[in-house]
Amino acid sequence: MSPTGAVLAVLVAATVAAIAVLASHPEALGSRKGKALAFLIYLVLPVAVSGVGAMAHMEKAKETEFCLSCHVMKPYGESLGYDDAAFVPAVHYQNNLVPRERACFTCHTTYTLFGDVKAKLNGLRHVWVYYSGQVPEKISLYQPYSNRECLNCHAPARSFLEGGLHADVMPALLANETSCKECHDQFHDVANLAAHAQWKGAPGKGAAP
Amino acid sequence: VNWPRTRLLRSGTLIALGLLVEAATFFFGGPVPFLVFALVGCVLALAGVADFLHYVLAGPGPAPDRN
Repeated sequence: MSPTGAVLAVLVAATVAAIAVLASHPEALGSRKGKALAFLIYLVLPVAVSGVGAMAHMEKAKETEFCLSCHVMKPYGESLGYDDAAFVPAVHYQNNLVPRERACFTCHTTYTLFGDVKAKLNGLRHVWVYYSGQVPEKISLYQPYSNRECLNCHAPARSFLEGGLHADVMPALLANETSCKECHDQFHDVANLAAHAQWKGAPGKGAAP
Repeated sequence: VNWPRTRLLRSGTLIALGLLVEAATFFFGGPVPFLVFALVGCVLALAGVADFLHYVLAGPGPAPDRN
């Protein structure tokens, strides 16, 4: 349980106890202080606990473990362990270029004003699709992968800015006219999962070094 | 506003049940606890809050509870 979850659990216990006391002694609410206490316990605390709890769950939903808890996503998790530096997700995961505990979310959210919200709404839709048995045979992105998601991390990096290989195409990359995927074209390749050797630190293969 | 015990108990029970469901989901990870939190816990707790607010704002009805 996360520290936020522990604090919320304690708050819930305190609120429930206070509700039990107040409901069994309604005469205590005759005073102004009693009424204020009732508002705190019956309105402020439940709303606050539900709000903070929702945020805690939202944060948890960004974790790699959360995404891989649906079995249709497991092959994508395993693809993070390909022992081949040509594969973009694997090289990012294995070299800590993305936080391992948020690997999926880091690349598969849009870095726009409502990117997080959109990702969460899509996530809810995925849960519905998963539990209603409508998972498509081939899982694909909703729209072509935008350079914006790559450039969010790479654009300010000195190695990218001063790297000779990107200089010629830099304006086109920044304008999203040339896709990063034109050169970096190896991704999850889950159709050939068994053909790829696995690195020992892949998700589900024990502790990463 | 009078505070009848039955009304406090009804709102309180809804809120307490909702919060307990919410608290239980903090012990687990994955999409199911998230859905239970949102669709059961939050709905129950907010129904209790709404019931409490309704009584406070609308006041007692024509047949007041004498508990």
